[in-house]
Amino acid sequence: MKNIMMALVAASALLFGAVQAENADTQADTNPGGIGGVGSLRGMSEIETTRPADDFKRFPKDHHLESSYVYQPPLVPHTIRNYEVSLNANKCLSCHSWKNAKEMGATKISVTHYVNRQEQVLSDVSPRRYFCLQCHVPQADAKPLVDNNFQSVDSLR
Amino acid sequence: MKLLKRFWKRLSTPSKAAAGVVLLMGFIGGLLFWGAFNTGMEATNTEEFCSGCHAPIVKEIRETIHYSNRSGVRAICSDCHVPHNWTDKIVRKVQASKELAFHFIGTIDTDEKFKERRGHLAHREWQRMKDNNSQECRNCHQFDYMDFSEQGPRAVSQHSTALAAGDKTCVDCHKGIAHKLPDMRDVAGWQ
Amino acid sequence: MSTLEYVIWHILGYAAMPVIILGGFTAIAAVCIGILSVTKDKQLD
Repeated sequence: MKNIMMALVAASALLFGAVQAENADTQADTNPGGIGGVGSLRGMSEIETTRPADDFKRFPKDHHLESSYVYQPPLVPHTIRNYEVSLNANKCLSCHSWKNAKEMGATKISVTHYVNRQEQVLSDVSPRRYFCLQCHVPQADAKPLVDNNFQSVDSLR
Repeated sequence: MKLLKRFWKRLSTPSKAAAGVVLLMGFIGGLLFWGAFNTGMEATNTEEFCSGCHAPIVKEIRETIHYSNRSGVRAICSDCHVPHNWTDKIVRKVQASKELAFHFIGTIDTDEKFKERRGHLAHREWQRMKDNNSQECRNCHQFDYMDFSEQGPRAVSQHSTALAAGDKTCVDCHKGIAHKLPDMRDVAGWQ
Repeated sequence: MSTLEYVIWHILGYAAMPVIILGGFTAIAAVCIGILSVTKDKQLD
């Protein structure tokens, strides 16, 4: 009888201890130093939590944006969804090339696009300026991530 | 020959069955035939059927607005490449025997062969669409019901001039709306 | 498509239309006659 009692007490003690250990696991045992709290542009985020994804950014279909500095590649004021710019076809140039601009009512690309690295003027668009989207982008409705008090020069404001 | 003669004899001999029975069988038979014919026709109009041979081209449409867009209204292969009205559709389907022949001799069965022939194929389609006044586009995009107050400024200025006057048809400007473009070197209005 | 090709496909295409209609009729007629031979018109066969 005494032995059975001892066995029972020992077993329950073990079980109790195991349960306690499990509880301890979720608190401090897996991350002894705490979870850190990484600070980033998205705010203080915890490594273990996954924050819900942001909404998609939208491109307004037609809007005009002023240039912020001289020589800025102007922003694209219209939608460019699916406009192919490849070796086979350059959709941008189908309106903005000097040949087509008048008929399409579009801005001509500037003469800087006809100049190569050695500052020689070429007879057609320079290969270094062929891929428009490397410099010209449309503006999505994305807010600045950090505060910014940039002011353009008086002549461009 | 004997079989034909027998068949003709049977056709020209009165039947013991009531007239109504014979007429009903004919009616139902005709219904079933027409249904089966059109079902077969529509089966050759599905995306799956076209991708059987033209898989790389069908893949290219996945990023375009006719595949997935805000409203979910879309167009598949047959909406643009097969005429809608019956007579033109049958002519196109008979013409498809040419494509079948080319499939068996393997004219574009590798990537390189396809790239070489791509310009020719594209020009054929553009010419066909220009000749029929971009009818397949107009099946959905009806010019008379275009609301210019809803379109962007570039669209308004182009549609109200060249399109309205009939100088240009849809495909003249909207090349590449559905698939990638071939070499556009000598195409009017590009570069 | 050249004019020649246009003409060829249109001739073939328009010729195919009565072929479809008549062929469909013949097929249905054969099936119906077959059905009638088994049911009502047994002695004729």
